[in-house]
Amino acid sequence: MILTTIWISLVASIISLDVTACWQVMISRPIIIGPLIGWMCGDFTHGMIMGSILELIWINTLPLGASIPLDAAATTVVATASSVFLEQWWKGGESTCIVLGICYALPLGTIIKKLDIFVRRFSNQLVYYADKYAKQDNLFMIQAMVIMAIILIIIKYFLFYFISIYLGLYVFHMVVPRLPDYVLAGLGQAKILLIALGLAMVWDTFRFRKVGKEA
Amino acid sequence: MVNTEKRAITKLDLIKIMHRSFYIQAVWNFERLQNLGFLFTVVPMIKRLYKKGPARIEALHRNLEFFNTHPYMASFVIGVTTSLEEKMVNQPGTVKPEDIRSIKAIMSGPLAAIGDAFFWASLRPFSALIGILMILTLEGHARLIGPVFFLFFFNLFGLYIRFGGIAKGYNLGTGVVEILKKFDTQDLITVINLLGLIGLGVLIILYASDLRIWQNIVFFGTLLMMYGLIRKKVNTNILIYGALALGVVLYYLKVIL
Repeated sequence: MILTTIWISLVASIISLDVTACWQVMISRPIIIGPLIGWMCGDFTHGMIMGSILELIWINTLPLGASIPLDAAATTVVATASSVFLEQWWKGGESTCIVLGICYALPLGTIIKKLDIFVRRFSNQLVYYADKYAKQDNLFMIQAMVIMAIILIIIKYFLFYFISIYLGLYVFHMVVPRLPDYVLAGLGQAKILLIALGLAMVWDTFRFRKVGKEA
Repeated sequence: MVNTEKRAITKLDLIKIMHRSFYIQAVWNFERLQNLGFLFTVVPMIKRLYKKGPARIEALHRNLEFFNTHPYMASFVIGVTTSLEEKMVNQPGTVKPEDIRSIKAIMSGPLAAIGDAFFWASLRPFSALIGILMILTLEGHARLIGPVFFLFFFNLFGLYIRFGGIAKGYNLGTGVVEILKKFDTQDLITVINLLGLIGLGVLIILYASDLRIWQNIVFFGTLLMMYGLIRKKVNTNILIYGALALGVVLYYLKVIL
């Protein structure tokens, strides 16, 4: 289990570079990273459903300007991995596992946001160094600062994923057997309401707006 | 306005710059945003135009100044900057450093607005919606077509702008501003939004047809209520937990089974 978690965390942290740092070819969106992580954990369909639901809910998260966008990838990875692992030992139905995975991963979003702010502050430091190396005409070290930033972001994601997924197993082992049956079954049924929320988000995204209000 | 004078930057340099432009946000920082990423992107240009020395140091500092725009639309600015830097070296006196500074500042605002409205707020949600529609309608491994479509369709536009923007910006120099002025995405966005609403309708009908009658009532009730709350700008996490709590309560009251 520990090796699988390390492997998943590593792959997920490299793909998560796509959120803001590198490429931005959208491989970090829930609809892509959900099925991928699900497949790596051994349940492709599970990841596909998870990815689709979270993609609907966060369909309109905009990485605008200087604000820090919501990290949909981080939540999707933790939710998918922990809920697939939950389903492998607890036979409580796929829908309930998916909803429990989301319940667990959602509050962790604030932690990844804090880590993100820390990395961006550290990037200020890297830029000071880059200024210094520019004065020395040292092109090699300026580029090394960029590589440093990328490595730092990978480390950030790796630690977050590994700890969150592993901790999730313990949390589920402790909490799930103690929850009353109607809560667990009710959470499984609540998937319908979650999808309704996602579709309301899509509606809000495409609703008619007064022309000229944006852009 | 095509520049016909002899050019120092080779095709290979441009390809290297295109490749590096994918890392423009790698050192995103609170102070000067994409500045170091921008310099990293144009390193092949600096290597081609300058030898070690005071001129290169000046060029490094010039390209380390504050910069921020949409990561795809930045390609136009990268192209224009490359073209102007080259002109400044090849024909001394025609271009001043301030010109480069001001063209970067003038272009980045409007380009960010276009990129945010078209790529982030319109094309990506639309591509994702169609992808999810495919996942819902297809069976078994064929459902993979959904995510693949999303990646392919969205990046078709994205990569075209990212590669084409650098090429156009470099070939036309400041002339690219005239082209961008005529660039009207508003109609395209309206069409995409309309298609998105149609897609949403199809998705709702397909999903609701699999539900039982009571589930249907709960589903549509929640949809309308959530839409109202979203318009009131209620926090998304609160809405998610709210939906789950409501689901448990309704199940406990035996409304949905």
